[in-house]
Amino acid sequence: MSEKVVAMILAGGKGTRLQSLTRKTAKPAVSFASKYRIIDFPLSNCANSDINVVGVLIQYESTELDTYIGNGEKWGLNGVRSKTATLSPRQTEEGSNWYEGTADAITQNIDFLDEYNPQYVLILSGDHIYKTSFKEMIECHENSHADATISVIEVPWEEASRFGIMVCDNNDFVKEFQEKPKKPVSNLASMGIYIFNWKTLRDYLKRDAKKEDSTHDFGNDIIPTMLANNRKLKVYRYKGYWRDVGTLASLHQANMDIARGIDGPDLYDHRHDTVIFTEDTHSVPQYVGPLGSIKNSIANQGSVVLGKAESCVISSDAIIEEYAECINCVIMSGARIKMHAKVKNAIIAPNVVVEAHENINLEGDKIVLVSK
Amino acid sequence: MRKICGFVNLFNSPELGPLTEKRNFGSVTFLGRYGLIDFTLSNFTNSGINRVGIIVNKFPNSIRSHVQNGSAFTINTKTGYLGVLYNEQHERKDTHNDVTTIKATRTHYDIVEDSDYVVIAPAHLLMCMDFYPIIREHIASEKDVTVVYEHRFDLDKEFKGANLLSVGNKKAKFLKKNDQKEKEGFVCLDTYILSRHFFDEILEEHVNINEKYGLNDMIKFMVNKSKKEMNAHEYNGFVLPVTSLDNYIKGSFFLLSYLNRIKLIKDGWPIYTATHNTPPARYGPKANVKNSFIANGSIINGTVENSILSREVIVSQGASVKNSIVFTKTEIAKGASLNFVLTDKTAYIGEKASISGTKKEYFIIKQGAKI
Repeated sequence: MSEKVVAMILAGGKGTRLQSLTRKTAKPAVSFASKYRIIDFPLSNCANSDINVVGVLIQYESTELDTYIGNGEKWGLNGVRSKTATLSPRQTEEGSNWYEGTADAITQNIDFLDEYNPQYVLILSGDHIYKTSFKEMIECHENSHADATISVIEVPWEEASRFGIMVCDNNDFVKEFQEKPKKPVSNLASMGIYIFNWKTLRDYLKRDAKKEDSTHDFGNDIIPTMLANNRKLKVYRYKGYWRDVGTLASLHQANMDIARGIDGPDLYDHRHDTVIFTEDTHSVPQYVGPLGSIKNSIANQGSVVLGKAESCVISSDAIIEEYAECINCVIMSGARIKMHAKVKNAIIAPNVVVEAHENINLEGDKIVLVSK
Repeated sequence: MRKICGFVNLFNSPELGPLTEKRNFGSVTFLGRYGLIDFTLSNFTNSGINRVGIIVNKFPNSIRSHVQNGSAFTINTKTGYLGVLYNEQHERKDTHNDVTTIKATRTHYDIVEDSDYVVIAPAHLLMCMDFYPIIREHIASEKDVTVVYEHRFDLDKEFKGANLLSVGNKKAKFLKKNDQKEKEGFVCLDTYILSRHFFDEILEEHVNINEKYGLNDMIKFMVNKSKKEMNAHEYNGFVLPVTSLDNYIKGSFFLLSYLNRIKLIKDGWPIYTATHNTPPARYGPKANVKNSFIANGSIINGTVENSILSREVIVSQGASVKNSIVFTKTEIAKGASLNFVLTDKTAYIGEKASISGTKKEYFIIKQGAKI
């Protein structure tokens, strides 16, 4: 059976900038907003866009992520017409290879895509926080008759030199792609979200695989080659909240956006196709104690607040004991902040114990990671 | 390897006033997160019993929608099975009871299959009971029935109408029902281990003996008739009887205290429940929450004290909820206040409304009410 769109989520990277949070966990599996993991966002977006077949490309610390994704049931992607496959590098007749780049990961799974023979392939990243329906982008791609559509977001001009920048003509077709330009002439940054016509992409992947000097990357190789061949590349201007949570600071900030409820994806819209789906653990109800205080925060079931939490994100089975204080903290599951401890501007890794009377980062504005 | 199946018997469940007017006792929300039936279902799961039937007295849809396909409670979703037994045809007859319900539904064969022992447990006595050692004791006793009882000293206040037992030398006999004249006694916890042949005999003999008899009556009758003794197992753990609306409210607040809570909700003995796609609870800048259970999806921007809030409850700015139990999707608008109130699901408490009951008599707001 052929599908109109198959989504491929790139979730194999290590995410070294998250330090020890990704020592034993792939970045997309890192906890987010107390109940979620980062990959819940792209997977839920797919489900909410009526995309039925999703391949998740995994490599670094793949076991936990693979187990979490399972058959896609958490996102409803296990229905009669849907399929979720975790695609890790495999041994084949030709030998065995790790994924060498984002494009190579897709190349090594051409057989998976051929099975569904889609009209379009949607390439997503497993570590973005945003809530969207891809329907509009798909429509934009179809109407433009382009070979590929690249989702872009306007970034502040002063930050444009940190991104892959798309320079467009008046009709939003790409003229030029500049990777981290010193003097940017556009502020439209590529989000690493692409729609390709499958037949075209398949060709380019095959050719790219044979190039010895290629890094087999969408941004570095596939897009520039398509541009050089005068292929039609459209940009889709994304509006709304979107964050790449690749660093401790950006991960912390995106969590805070949700805790304070001022910015960030609306998790409280209950219409059935706008929910971010995730795992619901069998934890006890969350409890706030007689001396507890919690403001500007979100907390998942199983958490216990006996002390003070202000602007915090508190995961299940995390405990803030009496007289302990947490301000601007992301407290991951099973962490324990003991009596009279004070922590500020921190991410507290899962199952970490902050000892009684300990003070962490009270004066610092820089986000610190508290880990074992 | 002996095979074991279990039944949750909802026929002995009490009425909880307006809470059970339109739903089954087993699906009544508890602690903002559970259904009352979850405790017994979790006892089965945690005891390794994978084939379980729920014998439903009424409102089967509320039970079905709570347990869904059973996957939230079943150890293995293929070899395990969670079935709902309900007898539409007897609904309004005086023979509508647990035995006729089991007999009338083909489902019970799927549950019992080739089991050697059948465990029957109620939903209204909340306990953390491991059936496994009791089953082992039952097998060693070579009796047809093991009855689980508790030695209590408050029978003048609790367990009205429950079966009392005389117990000696690990053997039990039925006495009268509890008329609340004595304080001390051995009360039957409506929990039985039955050997398979005895279970089958009950189903076969029922029509000949008295179709109005329920399972308790049948066990009592057949044990007396054959002059057989029952093996008696004393339960020493904690029992929270939810035998009335008063008890339901009292029990809920009793569990707010951590030291009480760990008697019923223990590490290594998870309470399974239906899963939901609700986001985490959000506490706004004006939230002032003390000594309360808050379920996911709730948005709190007012005062909540000594209260239990279910999923997706909204407490607006300036609103105050004290000593109250609030069911799913209730909204408490700006400046409204609740004190000693129990609101059922999807109620709306309008701006500046002020409702209070007393500790002795809670004010009950019905499902969907707008005030």
